[in-house]
Amino acid sequence: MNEDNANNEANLTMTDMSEPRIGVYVCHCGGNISDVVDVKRVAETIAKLPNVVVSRDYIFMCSDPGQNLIIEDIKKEKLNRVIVAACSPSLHDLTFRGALMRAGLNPYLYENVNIREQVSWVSKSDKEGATRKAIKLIAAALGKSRLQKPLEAPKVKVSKHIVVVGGGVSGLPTGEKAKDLLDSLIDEVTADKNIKIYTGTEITDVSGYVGNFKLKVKIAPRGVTKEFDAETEKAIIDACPETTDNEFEYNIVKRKAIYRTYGRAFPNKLAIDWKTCTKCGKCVEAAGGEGIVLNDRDEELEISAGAIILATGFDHYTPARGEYGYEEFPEVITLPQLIRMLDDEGPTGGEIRLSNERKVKNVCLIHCVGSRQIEGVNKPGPNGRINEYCSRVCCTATLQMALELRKKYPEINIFELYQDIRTYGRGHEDYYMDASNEGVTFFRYDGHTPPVVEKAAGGDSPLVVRVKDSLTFGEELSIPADLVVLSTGMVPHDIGNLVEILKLPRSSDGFLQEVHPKLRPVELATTGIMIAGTSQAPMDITESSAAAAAAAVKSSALLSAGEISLDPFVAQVDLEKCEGTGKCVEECPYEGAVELVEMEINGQKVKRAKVNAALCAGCGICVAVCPTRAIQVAGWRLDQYDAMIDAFTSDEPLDG
Amino acid sequence: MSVQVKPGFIEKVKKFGAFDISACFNCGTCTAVCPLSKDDTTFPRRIIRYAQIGAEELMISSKELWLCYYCGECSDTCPRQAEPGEFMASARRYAISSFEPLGVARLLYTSKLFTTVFMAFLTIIFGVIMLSKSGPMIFEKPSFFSTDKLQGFIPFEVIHTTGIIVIILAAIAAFVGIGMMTKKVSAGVKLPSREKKESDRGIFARFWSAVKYVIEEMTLENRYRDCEEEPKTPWYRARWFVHWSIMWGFIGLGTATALDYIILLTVGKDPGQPVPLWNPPRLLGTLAGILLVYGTSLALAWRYKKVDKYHSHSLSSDWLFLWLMFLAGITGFALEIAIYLPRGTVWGYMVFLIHVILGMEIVFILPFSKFAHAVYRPLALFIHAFLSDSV
Ligand SMILES: Cc1cc2nc3c(=O)[nH]c(=O)nc-3n(C[C@H](O)[C@H](O)[C@H](O)COP(=O)(O)OP(=O)(O)OC[C@H]3O[C@@H](n4cnc5c(N)ncnc54)[C@H](O)[C@@H]3O)c2cc1C
Ligand code: SF4
Ligand code: SF4
Repeated sequence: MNEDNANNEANLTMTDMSEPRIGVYVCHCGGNISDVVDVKRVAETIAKLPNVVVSRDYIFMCSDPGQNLIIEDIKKEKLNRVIVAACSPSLHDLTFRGALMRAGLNPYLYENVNIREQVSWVSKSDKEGATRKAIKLIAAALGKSRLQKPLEAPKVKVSKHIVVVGGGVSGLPTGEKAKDLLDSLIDEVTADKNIKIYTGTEITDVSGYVGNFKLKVKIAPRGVTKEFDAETEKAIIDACPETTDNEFEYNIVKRKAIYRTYGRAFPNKLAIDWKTCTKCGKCVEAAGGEGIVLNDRDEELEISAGAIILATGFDHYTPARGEYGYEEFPEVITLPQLIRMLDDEGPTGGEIRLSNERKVKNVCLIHCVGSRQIEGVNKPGPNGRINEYCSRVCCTATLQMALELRKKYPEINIFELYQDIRTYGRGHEDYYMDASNEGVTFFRYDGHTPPVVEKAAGGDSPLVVRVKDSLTFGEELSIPADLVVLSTGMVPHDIGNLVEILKLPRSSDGFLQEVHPKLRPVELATTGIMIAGTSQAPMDITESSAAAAAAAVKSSALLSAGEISLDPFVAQVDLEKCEGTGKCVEECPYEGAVELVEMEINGQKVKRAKVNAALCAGCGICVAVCPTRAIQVAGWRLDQYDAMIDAFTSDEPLDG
Repeated sequence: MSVQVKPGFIEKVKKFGAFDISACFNCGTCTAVCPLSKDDTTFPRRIIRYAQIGAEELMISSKELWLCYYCGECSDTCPRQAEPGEFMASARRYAISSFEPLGVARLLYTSKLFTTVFMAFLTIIFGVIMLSKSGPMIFEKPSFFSTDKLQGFIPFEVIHTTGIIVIILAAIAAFVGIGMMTKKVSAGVKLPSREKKESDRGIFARFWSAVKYVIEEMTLENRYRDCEEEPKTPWYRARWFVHWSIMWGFIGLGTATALDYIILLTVGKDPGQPVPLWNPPRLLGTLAGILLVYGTSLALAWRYKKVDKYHSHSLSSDWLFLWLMFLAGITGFALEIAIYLPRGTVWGYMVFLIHVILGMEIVFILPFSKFAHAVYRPLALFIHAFLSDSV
């Protein structure tokens, strides 16, 4: 418990609550409010109402002098409730509660009235109406305030562990090449004694709440328990009869059921892909019967954590069969496939290699495949969604690859078909400039008339790309192509059951959604769960790292004190009224927030509702369904609502 | 019908000078700032685009190519420093060489070596021809040429016959070019989407207004004058006036020569005899010569000093054009002095020889060099005015 709270409780006992003594403060917001609302008249009108001891207007209530005004009045006038009529509560509730605390008053005796967003900003043309509305709203708040009781924020002890789900750039703590960046990040993370890494895991269940999450984790066995020398490893892999697409190489090549992902993977060891393995035992033979275990069981693990960071990343968009000729013509590939092909350490040794071994002279790169889609033009994907967003990284990545192509194949012709060039990152515009200077020819299409990839009727190139090119004044052009590269963007990674287990909010595009894009950009609605990187939206590595750092800092700030205060605005059960109908439990959307428990009342064993303050979100659904009015939300009790409605419906103080 | 994209074309155009044009990203700023690209025209960007996508036919058949006078404002404003003005000049060079089937124009524009060898060859050929039947250098009085072989340095017939042959050859080449250009530009390889605007006026009315427009353009250089930038230079140092001087100097000298010939045919004077200063062909020749020397010397100086964008990227064809004109003018004046000297001089006869060779060369390479624009531009202006009816 920190010092402030200790003082606060001590002071609480000193505050005389018998008679409400209320201070009302009307803020000008530097003209934002006072240009429309007649703040002087508001303060004067409110001053005449019962229990109002002081009523003032001031230019900036949130400023230090503004807050000191409140503190002095509390001390001098023995105020025991405060109302500030100003901007939105999400901006300054904490500010003014802090002022109350510093004056020795319980912070929850503070009431906000939003006369900026809800009055002055929306009623600019009707000053009289705005002024009357402000008076009414404050009068209603007075009704509520009179009945307000001091509240105490529940505190919970927290586990000082954070679980990070996902090991991409964002999942690892944070110019150069992404590969090298990842290498050094992996080294750093594996060397850190405070970080424990589990690979090949699946989260099967999460229970608990902020500070006290319990995760059930299933770890698939690698199947390989020993390091083999290179020769034996080769023999083992050769012995395996089962092959499948190599997903790391974007299916350009195949791999065996027993495989090594790629040289830089962590851990860089052999593993068995259980989906492909038939347990034929050929690898065990090749290994000399040792070091490979085919009948290992999944390992189950329980981890407790104070906070969870979801860094589950993105997937590459996979074009539908026939989309721009994908899977229809062997000459059509995706950008990730091209990137792998041009990688000197990649499966083709850094060369373009098509399945039909054709030589490449004309390369056509099409931007925005699977991004910036338009309803009615693009077909929805398997998830039924249209990806309207811009994937943000593909323009830069495509231009980079065009330059790479030019470097490797100086004699080829490179065409890029774009909607807009969005090289928004610092220095990325240079890629565009360089590509132009290197003779890349650009074409611009409109999303409503996307390019068409077809078999060529004749000529040297097997394909032709037709595009209605706005740079050529809307003319339809035919571009010869030996290779068509689709710049596929990002789609949300499928995190399967995690969405259900954690009740994760997702935006319409399927990415995880933060509470507020500006005020709380890395937090989810469930306290204690953060998001980082491309699990939230398309972004590049720089932004992913920034988001990851933000999520890490938010989590440690949350947990560093060892305990956290929760909002006191949670449901409370009046055991005298509760009859144990369980309606509240049925309707509550937050699992575990309210439960029926057995207890003894008047010597009888009965079932009564019990609220878990840490899980209750204070939404009030239970209040609405309780037949006996036995459950209420603290700080927002029904009698307070009654008082507010009374104030709204009465003629006082406007016309009375 | 769709337009076929032909990769690599822009590299061909670049050989004619437009080395920076790949940087163009089609923003259209050049077209927006161009003081000459108005109404229904969208150069330079349109022409640049044709080159980028390899639409060669569209590029060389475009009238807009010739509506540009390379003010250079586009090049000053281009955010990618793609030098669109320089590109337009190169595209015109490309067009000229593609209207000329022998390929000489292409070589004159793109090869310094060829230009040197070719010009040296012409000089020797014309020199040999002139001297093949030369008479004596007479020193009692200057006598440069005469119908009487023994009375002048170079026989009149030699100059006359060679001149006529050269003119006929140049005219044939020019007419081939004019024919090709007219066919291409007026049939207009049209983009499917570019509708031809039909004029509602009669064909004769349009013809006359087009002729009037071209004559007005040549005499007043209205379009060129639209080019002028701030700060305003005095008219006699303005680019349009320098251009005007060279053009009218050249035309004036040609007319004077023709006039002299007509007088010879009708009055029957001895072509070798000096005439008084007020003699109309002579007067015209002197005035035109002053204009020519004035214009070419300023243009040369500007090119050496690279005073602005326009004068900064000089190809051998630019130098050739200006130097030939300048030297022709200077030797002409030297000749005037030599004629009035009481006695004939060796240098006088040599200057005469050089002057005649230069004259022959200028006419001979007219359809193959930068001179050709003197034919193509008015023609393009005419076709543009005639077809688009926009003047
Ligand atoms: C074609 C292309 C080119 C790009 N080029 C560049 C570039 O040049 N520069 C640049 O800055 N950015 C580039 N980017 C963007 C860059 O790839 C991303 O910004 C970055 O990878 C995002 O990192 P991340 O950690 O958010 O997600 P990811 O890299 O996707 O990592 C997420 C990780 O979480 C794992 N995971 C997912 N779900 C679970 C689960 N349930 N349990 C356990 N683990 C899970 C995944 O397997 C994955 O390893 C490019 C993107 C594309 C598509
Ligand atoms: S970054 Fe470029 S290619 Fe990718 S979706 Fe956005 S506009 Fe399209
Ligand atoms: S030449 Fe320059 S100004 Fe003109 S379109 Fe290209 S980039 Fe823009």
